[in-house]
Amino acid sequence: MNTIPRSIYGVLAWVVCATITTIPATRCLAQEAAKSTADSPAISKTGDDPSIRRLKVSGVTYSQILNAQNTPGNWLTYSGQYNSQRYCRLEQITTENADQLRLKWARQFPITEVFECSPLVVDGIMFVTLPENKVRALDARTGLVFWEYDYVLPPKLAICCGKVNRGVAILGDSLFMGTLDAHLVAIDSKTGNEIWKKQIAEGNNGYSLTGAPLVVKDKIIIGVAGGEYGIRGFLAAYDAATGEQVWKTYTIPGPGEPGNETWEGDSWKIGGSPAWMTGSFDPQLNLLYWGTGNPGPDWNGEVRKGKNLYSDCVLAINPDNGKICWHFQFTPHDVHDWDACQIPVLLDTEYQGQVRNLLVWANRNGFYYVLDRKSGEFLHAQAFAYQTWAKGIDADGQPIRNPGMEPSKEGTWVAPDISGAANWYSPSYSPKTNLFYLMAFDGEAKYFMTEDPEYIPGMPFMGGGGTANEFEEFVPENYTSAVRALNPTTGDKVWEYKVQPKSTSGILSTAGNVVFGGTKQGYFFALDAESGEERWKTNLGGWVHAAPISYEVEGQQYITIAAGSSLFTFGL
Amino acid sequence: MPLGARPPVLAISLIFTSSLFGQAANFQDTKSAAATESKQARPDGTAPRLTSFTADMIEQGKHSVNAFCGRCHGRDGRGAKGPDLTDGIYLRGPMTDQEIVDIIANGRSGTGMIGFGADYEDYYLPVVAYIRAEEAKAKGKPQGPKGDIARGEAIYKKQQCGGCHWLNRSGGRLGTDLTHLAATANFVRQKILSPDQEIDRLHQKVVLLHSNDQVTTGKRLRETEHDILIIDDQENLRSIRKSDLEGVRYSSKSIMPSYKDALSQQEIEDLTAYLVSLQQKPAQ
Repeated sequence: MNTIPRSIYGVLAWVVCATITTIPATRCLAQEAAKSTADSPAISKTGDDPSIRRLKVSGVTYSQILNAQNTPGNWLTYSGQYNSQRYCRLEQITTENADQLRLKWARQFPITEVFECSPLVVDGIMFVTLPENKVRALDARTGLVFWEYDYVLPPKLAICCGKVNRGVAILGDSLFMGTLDAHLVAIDSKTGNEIWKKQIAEGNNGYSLTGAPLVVKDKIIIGVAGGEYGIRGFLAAYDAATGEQVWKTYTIPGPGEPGNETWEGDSWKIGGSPAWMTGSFDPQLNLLYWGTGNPGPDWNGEVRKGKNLYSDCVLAINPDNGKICWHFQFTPHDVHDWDACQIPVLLDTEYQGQVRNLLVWANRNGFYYVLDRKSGEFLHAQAFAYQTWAKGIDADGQPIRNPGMEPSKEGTWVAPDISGAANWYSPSYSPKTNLFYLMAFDGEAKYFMTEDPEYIPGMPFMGGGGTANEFEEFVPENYTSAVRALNPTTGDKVWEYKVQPKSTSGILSTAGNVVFGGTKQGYFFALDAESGEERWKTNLGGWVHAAPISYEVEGQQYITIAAGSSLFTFGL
Repeated sequence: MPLGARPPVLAISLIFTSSLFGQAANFQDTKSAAATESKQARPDGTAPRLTSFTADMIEQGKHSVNAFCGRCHGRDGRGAKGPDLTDGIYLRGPMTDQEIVDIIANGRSGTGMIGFGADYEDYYLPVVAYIRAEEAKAKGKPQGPKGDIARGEAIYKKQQCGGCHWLNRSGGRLGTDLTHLAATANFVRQKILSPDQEIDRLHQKVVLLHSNDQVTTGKRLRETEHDILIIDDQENLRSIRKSDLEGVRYSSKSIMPSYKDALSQQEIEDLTAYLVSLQQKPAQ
């Protein structure tokens, strides 16, 4: 690349620059930095030395995340926007041209654990987390790596489900990641340099962090995983600049707090109820919505009689102080490990003749719920997948249970199966089609209970288990896995796209009326959002166990998905 | 290399050349006996220190350090941007022979130390032999830079090193992250005095001349046949198609200016002492 510049100006510029390189320009930069301290960066409380300040005020502001729908070329938060619709307003890729999608780039990573990340994209830079808490900044146009950050994990981890991580959050020039040993770290988005690191719980006792944090105002909000380890679940907010805890809200009320009586004896102390996925936020109502996980031990409810609040709930929380404003429990006294770990989807649409602020939820227990997200009022529920445990949901949102569905020593067949009719993989809502999309599973499992589970800190505390896919009673072909499109207010199925075997990808919908998803066998597909007809598919050669995102660089719309150990990016 | 951030790896070639294996074959017998002893003697997961390395092993270890460790640890193992292997100082506390072997095999996550693979483990004991032999020689000798750490810290602030360098929680982005510096005093001193002497080719300063006559300068982060990724002087990450460029110029000068004339000899010693002391106090 030693071409001679064509124009005189070019030659001049070349000479000037070549000269500049010989001057120690860094001293000037340093002086500029000292002068610019009056400009308050997005995050200002950094460093002990006032002369060491960021050179440039830059990065993602809270207002940008708040108005993410206006910058569809970026993907600024885990689910794209605070309403968690995982809907992208870009419309270059449409149902008509989706069959011309082609690979733009792929990036392989030397990983052996499952790749569950949903990346962020800011002005052409992609931030992705790999298993074992590694972060990479990539060029979103080429997939080339700008920088790498590897968190150092202790050799022993008390985690249930692999060394996974689902993504970072961004505010200003800082990225935030929860770690498998229950630390929260802030990383400089330009260099990958560590800014601060805080321990937020005791990893050795089964607390861990796997979900992407959520930035609200100047706070980083994250909930813990560990429902299989006898933890006492919580979610908490941390100051973005310093990592100091601002509030901490337990998902199991302590003595004297309302709800503590829903746990027999001291069972509340080790009742699980984690908050391991990312929540949603309604800025108008100033309410944070966060799902909670299973009570523990998972499959033996005898040792924790009662409703076990706030396990398997959606909590509406004031993000300024952590106060729980209302709650709704999907599965009271759960004995099947049916976490309410789904992403809360917020939408405003007509419900029985009136536009309402809705919160919709396709739960792991097989029912689709419609709530008023202002008051928490239960409006409607109906099954969206095969289930045998309840006759239905009553007018108060409570399940009408079928008898004999509890786990037993011999094993009890119950639907949905052990990982649920839905799980953590993101659903999507398209305001354009007014349809709710999710990966659903019509399965069943044999649920077992073990007696007298013993709690040992840092050891699994589950009280039973269930048949997994590879067990002989279980024939995957007998069960349907499908992308389902539901009417958002009734839960009625509008169409479905069947896949085999049971698949676990998140769903993305776009303004081009395309729905994207993937399968266990590595297929990645584009469907017509109105009809569910397949428009395009390809095989990525690895399990799709993550959610797609969409973004734009230089006028080109891209779709990115993690599969196997690689990231794949498609465009026209 | 700093804990945490790591630039895209160009690092050391992982390939063990046939010449090493050729040399290794000569001491196969002596060495495998020692290796067996080491492995058997750790029922509790820790290895006792082997005290009876043969002269052959030490000599072989010296060659391996020169060939494979030298790029970061200095050709004689006395440290460069990576720690001194011969001074008996271990940044995270004393280590058993087996622990050193494990680090050579697996690398150290979050640092610049790469792993050479478990398949070659038997070849690492001679390296340990060399490290232990040198360590024994270093006993009792005065260690560390002679400067004053507190004065060095004041100089760091006064000279606004943080304008380019990241330290603990903030700083500039064009210089090296000094938070968990693992370099030796000699290396640090040399960088302060004559940074151009050995510049990091991967992260060298580049001048990009665009086809539209605009010019961008910055630090190269990655380059392929078709694209170049930089952090520009305004600290923006940028990816540029080479087809959009008239040319790329690679500066032979470091981004870092020399402080030879700006600081007195004592001040340079103080600053060096401060920077070397950082490795003892990781940021929390």
